[in-house]
Amino acid sequence: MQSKTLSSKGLFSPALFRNNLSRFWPLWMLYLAVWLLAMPAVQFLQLFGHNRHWMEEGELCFDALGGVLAMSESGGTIIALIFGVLFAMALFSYLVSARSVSYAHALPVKREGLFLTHYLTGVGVFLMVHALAAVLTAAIWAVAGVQQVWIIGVWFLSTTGQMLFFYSFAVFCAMFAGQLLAIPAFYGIFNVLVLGVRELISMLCEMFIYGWNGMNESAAVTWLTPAYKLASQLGDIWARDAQGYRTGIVSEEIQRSLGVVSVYALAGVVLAVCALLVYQRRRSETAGDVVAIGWARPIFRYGVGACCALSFGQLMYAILWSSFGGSENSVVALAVCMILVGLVGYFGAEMLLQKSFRILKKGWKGGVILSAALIVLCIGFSVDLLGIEKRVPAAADVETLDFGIYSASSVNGSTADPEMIQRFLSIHQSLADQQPKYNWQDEDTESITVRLRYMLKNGKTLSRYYSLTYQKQGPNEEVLTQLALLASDAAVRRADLENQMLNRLDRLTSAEIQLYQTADMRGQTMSFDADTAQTLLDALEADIDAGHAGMDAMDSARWYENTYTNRLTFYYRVKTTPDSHRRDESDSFYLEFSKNYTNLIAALEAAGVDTDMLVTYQENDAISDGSMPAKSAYESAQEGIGGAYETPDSGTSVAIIGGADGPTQVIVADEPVPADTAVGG
Amino acid sequence: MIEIRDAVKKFDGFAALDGVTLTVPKGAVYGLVGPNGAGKSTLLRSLNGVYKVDSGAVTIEGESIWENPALKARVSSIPDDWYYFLQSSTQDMMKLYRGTYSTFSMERYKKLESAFPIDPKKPIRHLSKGMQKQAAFWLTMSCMPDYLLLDEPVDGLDPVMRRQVWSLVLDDVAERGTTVLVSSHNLRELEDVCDHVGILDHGKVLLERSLAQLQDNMVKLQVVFPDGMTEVPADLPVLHAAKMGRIHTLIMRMNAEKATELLTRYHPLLVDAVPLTLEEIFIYELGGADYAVKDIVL
Repeated sequence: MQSKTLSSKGLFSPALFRNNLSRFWPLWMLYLAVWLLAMPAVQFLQLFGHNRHWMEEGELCFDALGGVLAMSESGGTIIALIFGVLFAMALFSYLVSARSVSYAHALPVKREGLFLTHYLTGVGVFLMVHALAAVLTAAIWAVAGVQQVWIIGVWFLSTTGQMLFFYSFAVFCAMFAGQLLAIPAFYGIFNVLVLGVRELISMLCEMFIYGWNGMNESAAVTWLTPAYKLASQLGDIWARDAQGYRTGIVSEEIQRSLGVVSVYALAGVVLAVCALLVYQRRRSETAGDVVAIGWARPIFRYGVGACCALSFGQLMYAILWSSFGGSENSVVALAVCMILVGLVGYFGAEMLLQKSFRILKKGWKGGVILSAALIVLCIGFSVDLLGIEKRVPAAADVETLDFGIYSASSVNGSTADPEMIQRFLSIHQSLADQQPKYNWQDEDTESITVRLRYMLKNGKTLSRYYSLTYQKQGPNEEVLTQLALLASDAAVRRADLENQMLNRLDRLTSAEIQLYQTADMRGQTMSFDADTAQTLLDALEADIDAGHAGMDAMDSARWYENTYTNRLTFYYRVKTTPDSHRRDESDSFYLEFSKNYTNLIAALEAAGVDTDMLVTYQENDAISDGSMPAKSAYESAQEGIGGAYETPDSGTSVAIIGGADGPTQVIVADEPVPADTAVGG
Repeated sequence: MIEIRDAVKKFDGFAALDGVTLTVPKGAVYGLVGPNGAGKSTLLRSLNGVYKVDSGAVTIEGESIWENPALKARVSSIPDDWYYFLQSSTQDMMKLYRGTYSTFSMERYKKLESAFPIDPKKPIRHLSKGMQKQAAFWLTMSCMPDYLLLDEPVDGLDPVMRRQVWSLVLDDVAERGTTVLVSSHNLRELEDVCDHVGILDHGKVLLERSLAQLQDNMVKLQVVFPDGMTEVPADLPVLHAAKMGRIHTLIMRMNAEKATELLTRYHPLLVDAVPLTLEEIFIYELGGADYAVKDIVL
């Protein structure tokens, strides 16, 4: 009745609808086949295949649920992304040929009617396919005894929402395209346009803006890159018990995911309405043009030019400038490259629009405008027109700070301490004001990198990244002196340790130290129990609080002399948090320490480690080039393997285990043992 | 009645229709003639609602055709490059026409089956060009249109089939009062079927009249002047003059009586008025509009 009414008003043509269904049946069948394979067929194999013989029924069901949910997320997104545009290309292909468009527009159906008939054909097909796949999957689940049929409903809603969005998006693109291949081209470009342009501008900023550390993750950019957003909409969907076994599905996660999809589905409806509005204004005679809508042509022309300039222009600059040995970025060279490539893009677009190679006479003015805009852009970035370089947040505006100082000895941490934040802000201000350059000259030059990421109270973030160089004889600039102090500061080093382990630490389970044989890196590992590990950690914290850590941070020569190649690794259980579903999660943290860590070295000795066996990087190189004899614990062990090898002490267990790189000796100290009983000697 | 008033349609600045004003009386068979690129196809596409004119009015029975499905249901057209779906047979296309045009008559479709020797189940793309044209006529005539727009309709048809389709069209005109607007370069054929003619050139209508008026407005005279008078007198309003022996052939834009009266002043030995063919009218009218056969020396 409804369709009859619409039909009589010329708003829907049942005959055309039927014609669409019969004309494009191979595409509809392909779509059906894909979903039948991805849903009922996979579910059947999963539930009635080999898995049934060895998996518990509960796990089998959870696997089935997981499979369906995966299809509502990434699987469904990819299918919708591809078939959305194929549907639009098939159904609106009549718009790209003068003959077919003349035929269609001469029919006694309004433009709205033609649009709705073709659009609804696509919607009708995917609804039918989804419904069929859902019903068949539900039937298989019913036979297999899987109870949570509502998950299939989730899949249906999610997949239908995504398909509605991508299909509508492709239809919207089709309204602007006068050639068939222009539809997928526009669709593909618009799908990644925002993210792509953002990255290209960020690359430009990186060249000219001192301290630029990329653009912050932006919710708007993610939302405007639908395939990316939709493919990763679901987080961890599983509720787990104390042992980490799946017990059910987190319904809030499902609701959140459906919320995301419904936003896109709504956007799909809006895009469909916009497409209809564009279609009403589209002229039949534009069939065959690359861009069928008059007002979109300048956007296309300048858009292609600008994107070519930003992408290939920067690429050309990077290749040519690096080939000719340019060190400092040159705004002139960049502008020249961008203008050249931008003009190629601009005139290429003009050729497509005019369907002629003779476009200079008509298009030179646009070329001049584009060139001028690119010059302004390059100069704008090179002189930091937006004042990005000088932007330093006020201390009162900063909630927390993530920082990193990467030099001979690196630190990574996070702090909310106003005093520490103020110290970093002070360095940030000095760097922004003085702008010391990265200028690697010779072996007397040291480098240091500073990373700052402020979480501001207004919810925004501000990131900076500075790489600078200085002479080995010591940092002589004020800002570098400040950095040196900060890198070895006890509070900063503690923040580093907290970041790497303490914040997640529930309890230590063990520790171990590698006692390398330096010639071929075959080594020994000495393990410690939980109590000894705790003793070692206490000693390490004492060293940090005493300012021993990071003493050589700005002097790589001293770091080379003092720092041991032997890594100390702590194994620990991770704290249970509301976010972590597994209670038995473990992690490890390894530490490079130096001769400055006196408390730790003493504790290691007390734990039975022969600290004479510790090898600094300098010693390691000397042993490698033969100027120093190897510390020979391994050689003793080798003799033991050849004959009867005896455990060096009753309180310490030693093992030689095989590996791709040769035997590894493991020494387990049940109790702290005297230093002189350690392996080797 | 089809009425077009001051219609302008431009493509990228080029005016394909440049203020066209034209009237096709109801029940008329109107021949639209003009040189290539005159705007005939554009005019027909504006009349069946494919193109929207930039300015002016295109109406049928006083209603605008643009986005008027009720009116478009009464208008059928056969363009010079008739479109069909690639994999469709005549029968498939019939189903679409039947579902789209409320006036479609299955009775007529079946009757016309004998007129067109086409296998309705055979894909149209496998038919010859002429047979595709026959299929187009078959389906279009089955729509029982009140207005029929034809662009080079018999192009590709053999002589028998040409006569067949014109017979069908004219029967429809006679029986149902169908109004036909036909664009063609085959002026001899148009002369046989049209009762009105419009000449279009450079997007403008040069003239439109009934065929009788048109023929009455221009005359071809064969004249033999007295001895000693070898050239056509300069004061005679002659569009075109040719001479073979002593016989002068003159084309004059006036009726035969007036032309004879004018010539009588020169005491001709012979004056014979001959009616012009549509092709001659077309050539001499466009010759006045700077579109004539040029003598090219190769």
